[in-house]
Amino acid sequence: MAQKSVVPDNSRRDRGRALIVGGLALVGVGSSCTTAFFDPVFENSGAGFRAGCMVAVILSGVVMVPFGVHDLRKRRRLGTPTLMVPGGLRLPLGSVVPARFHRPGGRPLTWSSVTIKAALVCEEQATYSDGSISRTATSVVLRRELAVTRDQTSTQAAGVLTIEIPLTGPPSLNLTLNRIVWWLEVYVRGPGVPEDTSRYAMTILPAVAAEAPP
Amino acid sequence: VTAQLELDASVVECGSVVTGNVTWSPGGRRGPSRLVLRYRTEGRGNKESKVVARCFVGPGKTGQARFELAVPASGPVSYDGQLLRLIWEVVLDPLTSGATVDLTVVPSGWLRLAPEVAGWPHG
Repeated sequence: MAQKSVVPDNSRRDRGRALIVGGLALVGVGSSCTTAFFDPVFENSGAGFRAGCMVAVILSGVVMVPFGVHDLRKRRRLGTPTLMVPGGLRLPLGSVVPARFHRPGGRPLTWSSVTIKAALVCEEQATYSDGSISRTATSVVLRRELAVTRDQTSTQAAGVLTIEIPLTGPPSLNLTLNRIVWWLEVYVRGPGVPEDTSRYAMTILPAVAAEAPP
Repeated sequence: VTAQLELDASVVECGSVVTGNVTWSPGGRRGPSRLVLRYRTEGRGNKESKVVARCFVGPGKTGQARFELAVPASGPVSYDGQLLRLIWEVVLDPLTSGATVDLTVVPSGWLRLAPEVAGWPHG
């Protein structure tokens, strides 16, 4: 029997934590600078500009923290969405595998009003130097909607989808500055249901699946 | 030194071996010392390159040699996309005129596909 692999989507938790930590850091840095601002040493050097910068830094931090808290609360309410895939998300070209999506939290759903959709996305990412700054250009080269069959017996967001990796898609590429990345997105939408998108990173191997048509 | 590189096949799969012939004739101080199989990128991002295999072909001023260079099973494959391009090539080192030849690396198992899909769509 094929080994199953449960892949959690922890992006909401990670984003929430990053926003809170980053926001608090900005507030801390801004406050420290404000203290220094009143030091007589800095009295005569562009006071208005520096005061404006400090206020902007503190406000940015103050705005980020509630967004982070909101993300963590939403995750606590909805739970961590998971995808159960036989053998995991390292797949060759042309492979067709069933996967089960499950979101454990949230109020019981009225199924007639809720939809679950999924899409397979492939994106090129190219990092380049722009002066002393590094920038990354991205371009979606493939986006394919996947069929999802809702689990009618569950009152939570759950369903079965079929992951079909196109035979002619590019395999994943993971160089230092140039990458081709794949991911699977699952959307839960409906009136009275918090909008929720889960994202699962995939690795597409440079090989053709054994079951692909000869 | 002038040299000529000939591959047995210009399309190879990941995990297979690139084979061919190299011939060189006098014209300089010494002949080629080795062949390298490498890939490099072009496009929007900063360029990257990596030598994945080397093969010693002899120090003589003239000669002919067979070579074999292994392509990693993990790729990458040849690619020509919107933002980036990945090119595979066999290069004679030190570089001499006519001593670079491009090849196409495709996923393993690709060449067993039917002819109508066998052309690699990304390069």
